[in-house]
Amino acid sequence: MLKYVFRRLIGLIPFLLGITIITFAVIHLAPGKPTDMETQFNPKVSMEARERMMTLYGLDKPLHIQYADWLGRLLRLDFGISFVDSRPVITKILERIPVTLGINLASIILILLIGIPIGVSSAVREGSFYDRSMTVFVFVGFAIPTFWLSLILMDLVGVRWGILPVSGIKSLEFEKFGFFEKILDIARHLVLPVFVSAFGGLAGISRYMRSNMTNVLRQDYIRTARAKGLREKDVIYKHGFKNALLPVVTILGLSVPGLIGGSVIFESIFSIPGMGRLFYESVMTRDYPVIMGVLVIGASLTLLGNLLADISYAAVDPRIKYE
Amino acid sequence: MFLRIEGLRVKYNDIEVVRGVDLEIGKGECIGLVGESGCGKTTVGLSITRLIPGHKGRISSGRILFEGKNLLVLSPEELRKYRGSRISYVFQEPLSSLNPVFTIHEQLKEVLPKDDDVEGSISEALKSVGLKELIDRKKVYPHELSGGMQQRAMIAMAIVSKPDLLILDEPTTALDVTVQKKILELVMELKKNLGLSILFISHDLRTVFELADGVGVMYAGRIVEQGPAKTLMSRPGHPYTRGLVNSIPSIEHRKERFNAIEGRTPLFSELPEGCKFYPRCKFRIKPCREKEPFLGKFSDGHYSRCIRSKELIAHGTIKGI
Repeated sequence: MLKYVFRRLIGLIPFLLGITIITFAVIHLAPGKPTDMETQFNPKVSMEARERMMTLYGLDKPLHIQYADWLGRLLRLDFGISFVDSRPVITKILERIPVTLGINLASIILILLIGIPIGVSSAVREGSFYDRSMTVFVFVGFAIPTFWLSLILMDLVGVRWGILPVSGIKSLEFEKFGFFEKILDIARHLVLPVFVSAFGGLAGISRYMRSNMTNVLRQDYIRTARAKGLREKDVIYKHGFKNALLPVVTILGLSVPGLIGGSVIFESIFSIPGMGRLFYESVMTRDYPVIMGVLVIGASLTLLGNLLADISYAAVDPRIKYE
Repeated sequence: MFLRIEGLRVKYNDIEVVRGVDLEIGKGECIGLVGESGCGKTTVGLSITRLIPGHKGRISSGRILFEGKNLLVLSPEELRKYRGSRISYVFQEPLSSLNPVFTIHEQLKEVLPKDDDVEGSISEALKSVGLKELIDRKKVYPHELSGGMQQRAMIAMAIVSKPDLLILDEPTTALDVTVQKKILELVMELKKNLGLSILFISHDLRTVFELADGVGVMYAGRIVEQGPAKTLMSRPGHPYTRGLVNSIPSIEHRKERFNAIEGRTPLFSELPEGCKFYPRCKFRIKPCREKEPFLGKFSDGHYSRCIRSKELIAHGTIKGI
């Protein structure tokens, strides 16, 4: 098993290399330069100053040399320095991760806690009024645009009823709060974003769970379980549920990269300083080191998530073994 | 009578697939139920403990008396006391009938009530089906066994709680020929040792006639002939049974070609008027088309649903056709 994991990890390296080459090329070939902000839009800046800046950032070198330089730094785990504010890329990313991770983690837990029971109970009552209502409910969540729902909820909950804060993650007087008040304050700020992102994601997992479960409930071993005189509860929740849950493990592994990838739309609406906005801002300013940093982390997590899904599948399904 | 099925009718989505079946099984008896695929024999077996999938079918009328108690009117909770512990099943595909994510041991264990000597009963059951080596290997999953061993494990599961009635639904169809023979030998040995009553559902006529005391032949959702295995084999009264018996290939009388019954089983949605076997029958006459014959008695325990049974039984065939 360890040998298998090691072999797979080695196998990921060429993938990662390929991904970085392509993204590096695409981003550098895209129109616009990091220096545009300071130069293009400022008539007072001379041609020479512009050249000096390009040299300073190392952008005057050929693309493959730039890539080699960047890769060399990356191997020493140095993500470089932001063009915009000269702070290390890794610091910029690390300060954005907790909030995005927190929201995504809370929302995926919420999705699992609500989506799995909805899926299972719908499958058990397949075709009933309950089943159909749940289908409508989760698809409404799926179909409503995030920004629209966010705005409506901000207006209702935040403005008209005044129950919850509508933007940012901390109140103005945050620093004066005690420890528990601080936690409560952040929690109150995150209620709406977490709700909005969970509502939209409910359809996926609950429909997936429903189709797994309806399929499982038609299997011969479910008939066997009934023929054995087991309680209907054990037939469904022991024999059925465990089988229906297996594929969900894969979904969890695949959702790992999504945990740190923020959504530009609702992070902007709720003014949350998360990864989504960091990425968006760095793209707008052509802040190459930051863009590459975010992408490399995302790509690594995607690849590791796939591996994790495979490994955990073997851990839960006795039929699968890796040698 | 130990088990008595009376006037059983089952519908799948408003189409009747079991159209009034009567069947009796005595204590310690082995009754075979044969017929082509789709004749309703599996449905009859599943109906006994009401295992027909609820979203597909329902039992519309009839009684199933087990030791005098009608199983069809019991509450689900009462019915559970019969399932597994008094009446148990062995199904066709052992691998798909065993739950892939639980060990054989776990699956055997849940049949038994918690207060019994669970480990003792499991060891005994495994020993009697020839899986002694699994007694101490508790972490074995179904996929780790061969097809024959899987079916043995299924049988162990069926007998571990010492039931009275065993329903075998095509127990050997998915297995190799050599394994089939061993499994059947095992079943017959268990029948003798445990005093089991058996309902043996199969389309393998040769085995059914060999093993069963009495045989019911089903066609289009009804029993068309019923009687002692020997009688049906030597003197079938229904043209369908006769066709089935003739279609058994044998090495002694190698034929140029198999004597298959012409045509195919009719769809339940398009059953013909009159005798349902009419379109395929070699001995059909005009009245056959008008009214479906009733199950008539021809000798002790021998019944046939054909107006020409008497001639067939007497002469073995009917001349001039």
